[in-house]
Amino acid sequence: MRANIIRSYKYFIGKILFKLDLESYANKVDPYLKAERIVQFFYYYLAFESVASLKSLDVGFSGSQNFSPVWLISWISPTNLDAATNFIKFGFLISALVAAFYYKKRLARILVFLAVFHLHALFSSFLRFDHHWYLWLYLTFILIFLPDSSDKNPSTQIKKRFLLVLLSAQSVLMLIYTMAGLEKINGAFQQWLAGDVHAFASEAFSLQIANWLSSNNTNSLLGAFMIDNRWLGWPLFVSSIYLQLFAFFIVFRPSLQRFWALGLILLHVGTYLTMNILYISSSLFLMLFFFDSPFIKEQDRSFRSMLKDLPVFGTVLKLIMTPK
Amino acid sequence: MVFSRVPAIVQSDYTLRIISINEQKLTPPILLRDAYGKYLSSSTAMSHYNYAIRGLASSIQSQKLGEARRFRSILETSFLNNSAVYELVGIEYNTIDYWRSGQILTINVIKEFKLGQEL
Repeated sequence: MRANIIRSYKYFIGKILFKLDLESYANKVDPYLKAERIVQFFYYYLAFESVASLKSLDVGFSGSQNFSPVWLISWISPTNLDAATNFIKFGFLISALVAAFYYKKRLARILVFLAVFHLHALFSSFLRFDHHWYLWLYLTFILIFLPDSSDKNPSTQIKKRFLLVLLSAQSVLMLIYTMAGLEKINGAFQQWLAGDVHAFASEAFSLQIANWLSSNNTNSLLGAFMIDNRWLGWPLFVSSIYLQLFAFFIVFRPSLQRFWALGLILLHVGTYLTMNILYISSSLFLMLFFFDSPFIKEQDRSFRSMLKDLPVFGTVLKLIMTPK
Repeated sequence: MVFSRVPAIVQSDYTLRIISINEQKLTPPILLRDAYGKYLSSSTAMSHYNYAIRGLASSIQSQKLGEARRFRSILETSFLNNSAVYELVGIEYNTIDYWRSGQILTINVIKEFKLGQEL
């Protein structure tokens, strides 16, 4: 019984999820160089973000009376809030600049993770949890585990570990979308059972847009058009659920990585055009980690292999095309 | 913000209705969405106001006065003027019509507040 469970688990991981053979990637130079470049640009962008957001990092919202510190920064009180904010803000700036130069050193990566952790905690201590720094937090944490090597010709073992950490970062990035997709499916199922309007109903997108725009007192370029033409929004909304739901699986389907990342970036653009919500960092991470992913091989670039790897539709296609 | 549930066609929520500002009565009184950026600071995101208003409503209904005071202070520190009378109201509306014209189906006053005055 136990052996059967383990065998089934190995089959699932090996055949369904894990199509990637890290050993074969680590034996080549190109995937490792690409992975290293991604990490390098990640830390450059973090340093840029630390400078670009200097002004917006002022904790001006409603003053210190709304400050209720989360556990990590319980040492901060409303009386020392200004001083502590400056300490965290400049700690972030300095550690991000150091990490941009010394991203190959684990100590630099640990320091910048701690700075992001404190920044996220600070912004989550005013009424509601902050969303902007979540992804930065997860990614800076995972990248701590990169092998600490500045060797110009690293061993296969080091390259394999480097690629594994990068794959983990890609997985976390896509897992967040999959969880959002699962939440939508769960919500749709419960609303359908209750006889309410659900995510697959034709008016779902119109209602989401109208509710968001009015409760946030904002406007968008295409919001009114989409509300008035709900049949146009319906396929877009359903496609967006499909894109989000299967995002995690795409990490293990290199042929689809670029296509999926582009789809998710377009989803962010669409959310901006209809609801005036823009996640700039998420789009940049998708480009950075997937557009020139080290796991994409030459044979993965064909349209045919992309179609065959598509979740659900690919399986159906294979069944149709397999000769009896 | 995963939009896991689709808003109902007709839904109910809480909001604020401003009755007077600086001793001047507003006729007709205006709802938060119209007061935003005019009598309420727009440097505070609407989502924060909504969060505080829902918190205020639920703490008043469950008679948790301490919590209600906290939510009130969050809202009142954002008022631009230091003299205001406002109401916490429950509203029912058609989601699309409310977005289009601000039309409300029903409105119920839950409690009236004078800025700075004890509960």
